[in-house]
Amino acid sequence: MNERREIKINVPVLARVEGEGALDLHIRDGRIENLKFHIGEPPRLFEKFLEGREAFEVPDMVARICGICPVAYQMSAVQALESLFGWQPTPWIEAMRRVMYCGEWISSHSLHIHLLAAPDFFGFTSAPEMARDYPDEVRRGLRLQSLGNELIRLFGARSVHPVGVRVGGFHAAPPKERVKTLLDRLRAALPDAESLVAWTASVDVPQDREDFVSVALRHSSEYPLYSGRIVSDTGLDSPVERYEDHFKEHQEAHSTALYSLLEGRPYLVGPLARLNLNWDRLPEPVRTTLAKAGIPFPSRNVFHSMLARAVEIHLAIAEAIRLLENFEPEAPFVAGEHRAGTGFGCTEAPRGLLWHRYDVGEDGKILKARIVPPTSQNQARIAENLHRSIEAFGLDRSDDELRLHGEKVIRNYDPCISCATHFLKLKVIRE
Amino acid sequence: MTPVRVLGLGSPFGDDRAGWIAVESLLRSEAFRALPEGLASAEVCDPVGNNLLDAMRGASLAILIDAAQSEAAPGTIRRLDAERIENGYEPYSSHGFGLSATLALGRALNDLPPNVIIFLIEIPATAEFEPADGPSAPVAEAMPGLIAAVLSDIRRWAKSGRSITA
Repeated sequence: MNERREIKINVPVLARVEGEGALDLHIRDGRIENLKFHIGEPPRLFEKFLEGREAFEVPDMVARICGICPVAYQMSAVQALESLFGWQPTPWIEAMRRVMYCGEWISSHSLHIHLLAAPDFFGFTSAPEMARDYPDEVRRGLRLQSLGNELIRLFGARSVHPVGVRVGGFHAAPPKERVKTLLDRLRAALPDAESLVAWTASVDVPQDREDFVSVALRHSSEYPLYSGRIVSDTGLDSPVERYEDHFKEHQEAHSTALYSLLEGRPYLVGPLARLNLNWDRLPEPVRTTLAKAGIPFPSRNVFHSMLARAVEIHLAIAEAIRLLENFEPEAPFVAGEHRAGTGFGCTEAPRGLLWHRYDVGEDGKILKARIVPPTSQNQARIAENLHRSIEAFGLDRSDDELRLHGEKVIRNYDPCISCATHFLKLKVIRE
Repeated sequence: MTPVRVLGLGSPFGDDRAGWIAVESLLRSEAFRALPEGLASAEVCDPVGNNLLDAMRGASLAILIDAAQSEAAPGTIRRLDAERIENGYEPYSSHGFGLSATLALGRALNDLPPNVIIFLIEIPATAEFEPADGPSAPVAEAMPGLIAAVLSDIRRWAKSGRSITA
């Protein structure tokens, strides 16, 4: 009898996910007949706003795309414009950009682990509720997030929509005294990061094993953040400027975010994809901490994304310490002539690959911009993951169980739907 | 870090600046400047969430000022204890961690000052959140009364050194 029931589940508002998302699930005769992950945010048209603007305005404008990963947008943008203009930022500028970017990873990842994802795995509906039973863990999350915010402020004057970045470098170098204070805080945070890795490895996550394609940057010596070539575990190895040869975006009627496919297949970007492709680039002591956690990488369990975020927090703290240890202020920016043409930039935002392309005219103004954010790249992967994971979970479960499981799968990607358009509504139909 | 901290909440847009304007007016006022040195500070706060918990940490009295829309008459000032608006079930996300969720989180972690008072200024229902030269007339007219009420709370706290929550 049950087998023949038609079940329709609709999750109209997805909690602890940024932006307006929804999930429709239609089950007929014990099979998923239709599953749609909707992104319903109105398009934001940022690429159009950029047309006709001066190149120097771009870093401040793209920072407004996202309140949680503005640094990523700024970094991909300045990289694209500098490569076009032929400006070569000094090693100091590149190192300080990496430090600022580490701040964003620390802040964004610790927020996601402690306030957005963890309540799912401990049976709570919200972080304030979880905080009553797990105060030390939630406090640790807030401490780490504050530290990340402070690193962003060091270069950007404020943690949300920072204003310190310019094409060519930074408007100003931070004062030595502030760097020293922050360095002490970073060193003091290492035990927090180590315990966080062990804690996330011990969380009882669903044991899903899946076949999926990981895509991330890869650098000759570093764990990728600010630069590298685009690689996949299916053999892709492409310079940033050839992205469009391999990745195609298309529109689907139920979503205002574009879908992106690699050679026709969905793919994963973000912390798990990065770690799967770059675990051998982890420096000490991060590598040892991960080895102690006992979960081998590459991992085929997408729920290991939370552990990957913890590993990247540890990495970002260790990197920021390394890069700030012998800090001396230097010339904060380079400058030169503008040049017409096309420039490409790609960096690793907390949620994954963030690719920018700018066409600049003879007058130095933006003719055309193309921005491919991580969440739209993950969109097809999320839908594929939902399908498999909900089937493995069991379609005979109650609507509430199915809804919660679907939400867990989606939240695990930490999707930033506002960025992608350019929250979850679940509708289940059972027949 | 001062024991009394006044934090203006809001955004740069229209009457949503009310909390920021209050802080600016307070900092300009003779009465605030005349308070004993090291007693009180006032600042415009980064968006709520973790930044607000950081800004309040270690204070004995935190006074938050924010704009509100509740169908009351525009310009109405309300003074509430934080507990009245805490809500651990308010939806939140990476980008939107609202005031009531922030206060609930701080309370659950025993991370709030012993006294947290919120002043809410009612802004017109028709308020438009666009860049503007100044606040709407009801908000501007309510400002002196609001500043006086904030100062009176600070003085009362300084005198008694005890709880002054509503």
